[in-house]
Amino acid sequence: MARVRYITPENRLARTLGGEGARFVEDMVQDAKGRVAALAPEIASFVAAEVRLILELGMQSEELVFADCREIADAALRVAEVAGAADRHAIGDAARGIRAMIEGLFRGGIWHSDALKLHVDALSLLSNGPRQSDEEEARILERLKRMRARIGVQD
Amino acid sequence: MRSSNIRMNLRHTRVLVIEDNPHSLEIISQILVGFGINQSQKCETMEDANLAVEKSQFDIILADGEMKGQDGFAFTRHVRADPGACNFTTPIIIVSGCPTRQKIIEARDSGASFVIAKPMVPGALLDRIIWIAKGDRDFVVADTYRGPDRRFRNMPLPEGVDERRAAALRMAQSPKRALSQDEIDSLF
Repeated sequence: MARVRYITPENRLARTLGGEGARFVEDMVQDAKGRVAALAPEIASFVAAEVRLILELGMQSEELVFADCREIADAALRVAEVAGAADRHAIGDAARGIRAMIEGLFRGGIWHSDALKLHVDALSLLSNGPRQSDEEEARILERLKRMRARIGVQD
Repeated sequence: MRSSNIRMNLRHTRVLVIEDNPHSLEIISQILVGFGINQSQKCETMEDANLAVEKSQFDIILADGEMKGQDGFAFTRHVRADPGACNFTTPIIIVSGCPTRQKIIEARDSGASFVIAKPMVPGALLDRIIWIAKGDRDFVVADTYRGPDRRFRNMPLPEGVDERRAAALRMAQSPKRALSQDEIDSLF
C-alpha cells in the first residue's frame, strides 16, 4: 500500500498580505502593465525578425522545411512567448500553432506539409500588409485550430 | 478573481525566475519590479537554477516550461525529490508558451502550483500569488506525488477570492483560443 504523508509548510507568502508599506494590488498590476507596455516596441521588432525567419524557412521546398523544422519550431516558440506583449496576439497564436504542428511530428509522427504550409501562409497574412480586423484574425485562428484538430495535432 | 481592496507588500519576497528567452525574461522582470519585488534572482539555464535552489530558499519560483534539456517540469520534480531540501515545498509556477492540456497535466503531476501562459500578464501572476498567500494547503508527500494538496475542501473561499472553476465555466461557454488561463487553472 502506498504511504502518504501530509505536511503543513509555513506559508511564507502569507506575510506579504497587508502590513506596513503594503500597496493596493490594482496599483501593483497597473504599475507592472505600464512597464510591460514600455517594452512593446522592442518586442515588436524582435517578433518581426523571428517571423521573417519562420517565413523564410517555412516557404522552402518540402524537403528543406522538413530538415529545418526544429529551427522553425524554436523560432515559433520565441514568437509565441512574447508577441502578445506587443499586442500581436494573433501572430503569437499562429506561431503557437506552427510549434504544435512540428511538435506533433516529434511526439506522434504526424507530418502534414500542406497544413504546415497553410499555417506559415496564415502567419504571413497576419504579419504583413494591413492588419486584419479582430474578427478576421479570430476567424483565421479558429480555422487553423480546426485543421490541427482534424489531423490529430493537440493544442 | 482579484479583490480590489487587497493590499500586499512583496518587497522582501524572494523570487527565482528561470527563463531562457531574454525578451520573456525581461517581461517577467518588469512585472516583478512593478509589484515592488526587488529580490528576484534570474537564471537563463537550468544548471544555474539547480545551483540557486541548493544555495538559497525562495518564496516562489517561476520556471520556464519549454527550456531545452531539463525543462520546468523536470526542474519541479528535481526540487520535489528531496524532502530535506530548503525549497522542497516552495510554490512553483510553470510559465509556458504552449500550455497544452498534456503539459498542464504534467505540471500538475510534477508538483507545480499553477501554470501561467506566456506572455505573462501581470494580473494573472498576482492573482496566483494572492491565491498562494491566502491559501492553507497541505503538502502531500507520497511515492508517486509530491506537491500541494489539490483537493478542494468544502469550505468557504478566502475573503475576496472568487471560485476558479466558476471563471473557467464562464470561459468555456465561448472558447476562442486553444486554452485560456482560466481553462488552464481548471485542470489543476
